[in-house]
Amino acid sequence: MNELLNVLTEALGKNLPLWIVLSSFSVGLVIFFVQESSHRLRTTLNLLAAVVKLALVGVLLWGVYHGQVYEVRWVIAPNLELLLHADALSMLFVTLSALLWLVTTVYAIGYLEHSPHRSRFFGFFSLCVSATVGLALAGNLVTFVMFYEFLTLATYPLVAHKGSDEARKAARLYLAYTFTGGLLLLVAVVWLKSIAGPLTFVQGGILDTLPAETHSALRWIFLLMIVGLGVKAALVPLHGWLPKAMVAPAPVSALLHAVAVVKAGAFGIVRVVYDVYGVEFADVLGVLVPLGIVAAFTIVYGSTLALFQDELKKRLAYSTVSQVSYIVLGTAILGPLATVGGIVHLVHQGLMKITLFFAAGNYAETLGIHRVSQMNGVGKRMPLTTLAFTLGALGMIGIPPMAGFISKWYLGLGALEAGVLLWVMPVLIASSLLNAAYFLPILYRAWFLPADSWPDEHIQAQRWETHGMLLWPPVITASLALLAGLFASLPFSPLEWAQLITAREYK
Amino acid sequence: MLQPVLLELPFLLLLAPLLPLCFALVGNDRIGQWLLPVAALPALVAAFVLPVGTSVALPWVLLGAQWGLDATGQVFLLVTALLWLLAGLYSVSGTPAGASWWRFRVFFLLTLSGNVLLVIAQDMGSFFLGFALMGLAAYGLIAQQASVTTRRAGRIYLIWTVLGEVLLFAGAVFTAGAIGSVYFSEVVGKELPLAAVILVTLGLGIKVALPGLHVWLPIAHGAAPPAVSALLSGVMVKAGILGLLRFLPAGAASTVWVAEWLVWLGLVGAFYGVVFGLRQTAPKVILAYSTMSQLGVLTLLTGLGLQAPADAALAMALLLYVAHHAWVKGALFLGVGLFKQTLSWWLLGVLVVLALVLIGVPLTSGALAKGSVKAALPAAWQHLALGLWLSSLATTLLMGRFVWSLWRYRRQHGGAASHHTSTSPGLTQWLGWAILVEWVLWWPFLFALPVFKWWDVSPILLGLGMVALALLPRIPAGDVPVLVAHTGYRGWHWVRQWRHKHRRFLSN
Repeated sequence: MNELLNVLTEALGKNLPLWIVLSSFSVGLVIFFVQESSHRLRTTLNLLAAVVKLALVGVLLWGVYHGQVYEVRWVIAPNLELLLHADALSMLFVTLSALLWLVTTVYAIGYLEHSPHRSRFFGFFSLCVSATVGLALAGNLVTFVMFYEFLTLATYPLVAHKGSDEARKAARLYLAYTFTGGLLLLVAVVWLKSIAGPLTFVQGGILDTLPAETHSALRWIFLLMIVGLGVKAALVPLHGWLPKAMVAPAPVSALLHAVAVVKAGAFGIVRVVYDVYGVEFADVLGVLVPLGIVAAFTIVYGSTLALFQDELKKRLAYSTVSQVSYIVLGTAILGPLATVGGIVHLVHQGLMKITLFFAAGNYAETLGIHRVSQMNGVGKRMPLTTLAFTLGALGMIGIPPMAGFISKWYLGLGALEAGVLLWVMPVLIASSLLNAAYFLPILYRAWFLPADSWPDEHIQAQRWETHGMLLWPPVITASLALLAGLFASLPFSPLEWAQLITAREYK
Repeated sequence: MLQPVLLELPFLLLLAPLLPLCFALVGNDRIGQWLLPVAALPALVAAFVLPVGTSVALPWVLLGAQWGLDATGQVFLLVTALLWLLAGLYSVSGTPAGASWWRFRVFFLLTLSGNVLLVIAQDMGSFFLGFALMGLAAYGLIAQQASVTTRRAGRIYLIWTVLGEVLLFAGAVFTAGAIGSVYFSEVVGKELPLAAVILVTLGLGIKVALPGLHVWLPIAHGAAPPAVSALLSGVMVKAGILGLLRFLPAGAASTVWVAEWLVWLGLVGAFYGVVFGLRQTAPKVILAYSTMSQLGVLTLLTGLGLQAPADAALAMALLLYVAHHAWVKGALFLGVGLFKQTLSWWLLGVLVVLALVLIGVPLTSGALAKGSVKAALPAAWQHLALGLWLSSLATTLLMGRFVWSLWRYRRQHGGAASHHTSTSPGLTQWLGWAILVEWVLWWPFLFALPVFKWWDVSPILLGLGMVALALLPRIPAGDVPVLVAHTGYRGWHWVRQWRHKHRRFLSN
């Protein structure tokens, strides 16, 4: 009996990454078959899966921190294997997505309370998270690409969920962009595989031993990969789908912008640069500088366009375009401090941006507010939501003690270390000023102007300003964004974890 | 039992910035209003009780925080906490009730917290946090009343503040990267790249209103409520001075280069503020320009202090000047608020006395501060004495204009005080102001006052003479004899009229 238990635990232990992927995948499949009316069953399944996944991630985190190796291999064909592997970088992303998935699930349950097609929605929602976790845990490039494509498919129905013409058009655009990107990525991976063999992610990179005559091919492959990943990461000029996709319901936007799609692109770029090419080798190839320039341009461009959006979610979408490129910028600057800044922003941007989208959803759901110009005096009607929004916005500008400050600080230090402060610092300054220019007027309206009548008040203020399941998610994520900044130097903080990852990349 | 807890040193240091934050959560108006002065109490106690050198490490916070008191910090904390406490007392009854009252309280407490934090911060992260918190939250105080003027003032203030913060951020990153540490103690004796020094100086230069970067200052002061103007002028702008002292390594080559600029820019600012202040009519705006001018002197002193490491006399002079200006300017602003509410003559009289203190007539804190500055001028900069002499003259003229503007204000709103403001000053308003005035008049006697010299008072006398000339009524051609004749005629006329009026009474 005891032996059996031991064997079971051991099997579970080794296959933990697989269980984590399957925990949401299987539940997602089951939810498709749950009847539309059985609200309670669906909610239970959703929350159960999210909690179980978070618990499993907690176990995995503990194990990885203590140096245990978790690997699941599945050889499909000779020379082609799927590999799930938990390293420090994947843990950062997995923890973020598992945590935010739980919060977003709660939010989505509250948000979609009386809308149709909930089983379809939550089914794809779970699949989407499985794909995200899968690509985070992918141990080689082939597995990564598989989950990356799967993510595209799982997200499409979510973007189109409302079924309106606008939603379907946005979803088609999304599909066109991401499929093209995925195709380019696939071509690049196949090409690279023919040159370099198995593309297992190794900290420090695997390509630097290749002979010099392959270098020009490697540069082309890098370009293809960045274009393929850049579509999801919304690098300018590949960002066109993102502002359109904000027609999706607020929980989807929140997930899209904070953890799933956009982040998957950025995460992919981080993986390719650090664990396939190796950042030092990428520098030798001379591909980092162009990448940095694209990222810098995207940062300024996104912020500038955000200035002109009156629609709140659109403004946030352009803000995402800008903020995600901080991650890419940090990746493109050679040096450990910039790496820390980029990687830690993976988490920080997620926490802050999901807060902003939750809050935007609350305004829309509670009062029918969709535009910035309708937000006058909303702070008094919805103080907690607006407080969360305020914290998120201040973090985006980079004001301490919010998490965004820490990211910018390390990016600045990294730029100094790499001797590129001259062009990076103006970008950081411009972006901060632009962020202030498009966020502070919103805060001014919300807190200082007297309220007009609300466009369409669905939810009356009772004990709380809105439905509890809508209210608490942004409050929680805003608190996390605050804590991640304020206690940045605490053990197990995102910053500390990013430093751990970085230490392993620059051995 | 209480005493050991109070003397638990880190406890007080933590309480000073954190208690105001906790108080900001109180929603009840009747309790909340009394928390405004109480919130500054831990900082004041800390300034008195904690010995220099106390510090507490918070390695988990931000980039690794350290809060503590050095000699400079202790003086700044004392100055800051006292003014916040009294301005808080003033605000207990001095702010309109209603929904925005809660908002005012929250922003007041946030600003206080930021201000205290930046004073005790010994690392860049904490300083920047305090600086940003103070700068942004003060917006809510300036834009307190909803009107077109305050909205514009608030917007301009916010734009410049954000610009300053971003520049300071860039400078701080540069500095931290160059010295490889975020602690100010590591800055001392290091060499910084020139770009870092310039960025820091520009970022803080907005706060200390260097000429060209000063636009926000008179506009914000004109719009803010009196207590807020007092705090802004008295302590918040001085965060810039403290920041310069903290960030820039004194005596390093790049610092010396910038510090020379600071000396000259400060001198220019000292006169710039007066020239443009003399053309203003609103009392608070004139005071704001005076603040710009006085900040010029402080910038000059900071520039001198940064040229060589550890000049004790100069540091002492700078601190005395900071204390002098903070308290007297605070008292002036609060007094203007009371004067506008009551229009009483005796208040005008006290304001004249405070103006004389600012000018630096003997036996006042102004004389003490200016005397110590003069004594501390380095040998190479003795020629600045002339500049300071002229600056004293200029300040006298500006204060003359200030008194004139009060007089004019009274005439315009004459006798109609009840129409102008709906409320008469509350008890705590009087109390806060009275304590501050008492303190302003009294504290210089704790120090050895400078020996009376005609040279020191000559610019003041000259200035007062010029003010008197400017304020005299029009004098007819033929001057004194004509005046005498005129007065005699008017007197005779008046007597005749009086007799005419009371003839019946007299004849009875």
